[in-house]
Amino acid sequence: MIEIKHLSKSFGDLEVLKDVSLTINKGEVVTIIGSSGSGKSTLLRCINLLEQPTGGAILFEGKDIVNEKVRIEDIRKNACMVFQHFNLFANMTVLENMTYAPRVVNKLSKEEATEKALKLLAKVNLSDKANEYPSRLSGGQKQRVAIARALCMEPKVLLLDEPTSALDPEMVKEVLDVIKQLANTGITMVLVTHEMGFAKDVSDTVYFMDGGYLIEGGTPDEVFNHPKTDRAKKFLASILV
Amino acid sequence: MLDFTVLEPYFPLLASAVWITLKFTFFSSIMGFLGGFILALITLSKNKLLSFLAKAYISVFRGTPLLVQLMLIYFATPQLTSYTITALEAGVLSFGLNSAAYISEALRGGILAVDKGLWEGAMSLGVPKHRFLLDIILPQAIKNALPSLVNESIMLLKDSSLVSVIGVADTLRWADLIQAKTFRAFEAFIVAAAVYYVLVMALNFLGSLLEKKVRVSD
Repeated sequence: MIEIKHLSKSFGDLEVLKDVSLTINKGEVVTIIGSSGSGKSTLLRCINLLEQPTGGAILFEGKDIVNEKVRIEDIRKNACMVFQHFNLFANMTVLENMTYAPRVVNKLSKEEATEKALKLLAKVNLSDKANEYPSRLSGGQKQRVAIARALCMEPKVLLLDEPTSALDPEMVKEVLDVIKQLANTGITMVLVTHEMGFAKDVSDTVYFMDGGYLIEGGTPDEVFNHPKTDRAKKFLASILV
Repeated sequence: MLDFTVLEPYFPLLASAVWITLKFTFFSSIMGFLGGFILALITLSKNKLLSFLAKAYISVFRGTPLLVQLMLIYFATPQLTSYTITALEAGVLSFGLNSAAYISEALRGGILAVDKGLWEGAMSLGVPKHRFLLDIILPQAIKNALPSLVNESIMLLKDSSLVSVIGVADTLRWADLIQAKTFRAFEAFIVAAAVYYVLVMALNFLGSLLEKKVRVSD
């Protein structure tokens, strides 16, 4: 569904992505791991053009979104992102947060959007918070709302950028449980995370990045238990899996 | 010694004078707010030329006296164009243009205080830029800037008394006329002062109600 070919991205003189190529199939749960500054998040942000790549191509359902003329909003509504810091709209209630983009971007009626939002809110166990403002929610609750908000757009791919990194330890599980539940629904998902145990558990494919390069990729068993490269071995040895 | 009863016949006139004061304040606030929002967006935009022009505008309108701006617009417009500008138009125009400069600074601060992550949050859902500005940034910028905005409308209310200089029959003009007719300067001006004070307090009260309303999301 998404084919990334020789992708590169520089910020001025700093080259953060170097010749990255990978393919994401429909329904695949892909995890990208690697140390901080290795380019994982930048790669993820290139997929929905929050960062404009400086070279290479991204074929989104066959269409090159880097080099061809595309409406940027059309890409993003199909590749919704969940952020480390939630980025909920502070002036809107949970329900309004979720129904806003479906109404404005997908032109759903208020009733349709609300119905869909309430269903999703039940799935993330937050039905009772529908009319609360984000400031009243805990970090874990905010992130579950952010995930539900992204799902409300029915994106073709869900991008999660370190969704548990800003959470208190006791809230990590509730968010991971939601993501895991999602992973089993057949949704296409690209996840950047430092939760190695979780990555091992939910992923179909794991990629390891280092210094802007995609070093290796494969099934969780291949990457975690039988890493081929020294860099991956070194990285995995330095963390607790 | 003091005799307020001499003012009694002029109270109906006072009512219409207060109405004029309120009208000035209302229209110039609206104009100042709309102009201020646009100016704030321009100063924050990446277009260097537009941003420079907006900053120059703000600098000029904040750097010269309001009374000078008022007289310039009122007396110079007929000279430069064939259009005879009415006192009401000149007043609203100069106050609106002037307060736009101040309001844009307050709103600019309000916009900058909005969490940058919201931009990415909205973008990543495919929300177009103009909708994001109107639906997410503007409400929060107003909330952040509300104390300064209330303050600005109070300033406008008080500064509206300047239009008496170009002959508009506002509250201050009323007092001036009355003291000329009755030779009761203290009574006339103290009533005008009291009227302004009551109006300012009313605005203050409305402001605090509004503040409570926008703070529900905190």
